[in-house]
Amino acid sequence: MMVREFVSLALVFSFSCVSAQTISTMTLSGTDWMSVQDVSQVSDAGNDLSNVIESATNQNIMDIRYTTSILILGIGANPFRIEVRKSDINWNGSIIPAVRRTGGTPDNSLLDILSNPSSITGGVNYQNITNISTTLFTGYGKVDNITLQYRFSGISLALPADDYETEIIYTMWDNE
Amino acid sequence: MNKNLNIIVFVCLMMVAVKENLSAQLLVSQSKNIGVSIGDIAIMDIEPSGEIQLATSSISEAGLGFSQPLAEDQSKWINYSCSDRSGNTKRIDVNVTAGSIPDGLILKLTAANYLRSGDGVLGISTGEKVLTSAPQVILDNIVRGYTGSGAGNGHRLTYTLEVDEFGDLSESSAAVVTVHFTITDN
Repeated sequence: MMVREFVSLALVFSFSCVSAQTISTMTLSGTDWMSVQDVSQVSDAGNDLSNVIESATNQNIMDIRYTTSILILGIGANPFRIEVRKSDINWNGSIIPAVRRTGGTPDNSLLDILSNPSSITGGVNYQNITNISTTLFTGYGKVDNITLQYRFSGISLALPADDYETEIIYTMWDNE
Repeated sequence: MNKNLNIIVFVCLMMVAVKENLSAQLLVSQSKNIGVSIGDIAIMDIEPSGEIQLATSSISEAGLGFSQPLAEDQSKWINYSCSDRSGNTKRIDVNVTAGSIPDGLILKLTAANYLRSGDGVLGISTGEKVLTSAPQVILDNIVRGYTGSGAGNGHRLTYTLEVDEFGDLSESSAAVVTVHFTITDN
């Protein structure tokens, strides 16, 4: 009797685990941001360009889902970590790019009985973006409408006039 | 008792197995480009605004000449902001575009080298120029940058009025001339 129950339970759990489906998606919408600095940005002869310029507060919008559905246990919110780095196309080291999170809505409609509810933490203050990947924010499960704002500092007419461009790369990691 | 223990152990093993599959993985990556485009800029002014007067004094005693220079003014400053995507340098030309300098007198202008709060690779003085209607370079080799705005920033201008030919002098109440500055590509 005991053996039979154990085997039955094992089968159920095995089936559940075989049926476990993990979804890990990150979408990034919105447009590239290219700030044009021309004569209209100089307030008076002799003045410099604004040293600090910012994009729209929702220049890019990220949606994240990192969940696991297990047949009899429901849908669990898994912990994720978002890192950010840049890969320079044409850049000048005097220009410092930074990014911050200006929004983000956890979706707690998940039937979550295994882990924490969906959530998002950190990233609300500007963080400089370097060529080394660093954590921007962490969270659990499904978070939508994560709005991202960029900032450049170090803009100046003392820099050679040119098009400076860099690729901002976001990576989503399991944060177990 | 044994049954319960087996169940607990099994559940734990299964949960560990599920969690192991999820640990420390790069899940997905996305990117966007950002950048800044610094365009061609050339903007210049003279600070403070308004006219200057170069008043001469009369000769105090018969037989004496004028002391040179007759008058001098250092109240004006050239301010500019510029950049050039092609890498061309710029210069600032100066000439008289209206009015005439009285006979026997010359009006000289010097732009000093840059001073104060700007940054960049700024213009170099070409020294003292005797102003005429023909444009002359007063600052050259401006690469890029900004001088700072307002009096006390940029390149100080020194106007001097001198007697050139005493014999050509004639009594005159006032002569007004317009001095024109142009920032242009080399």
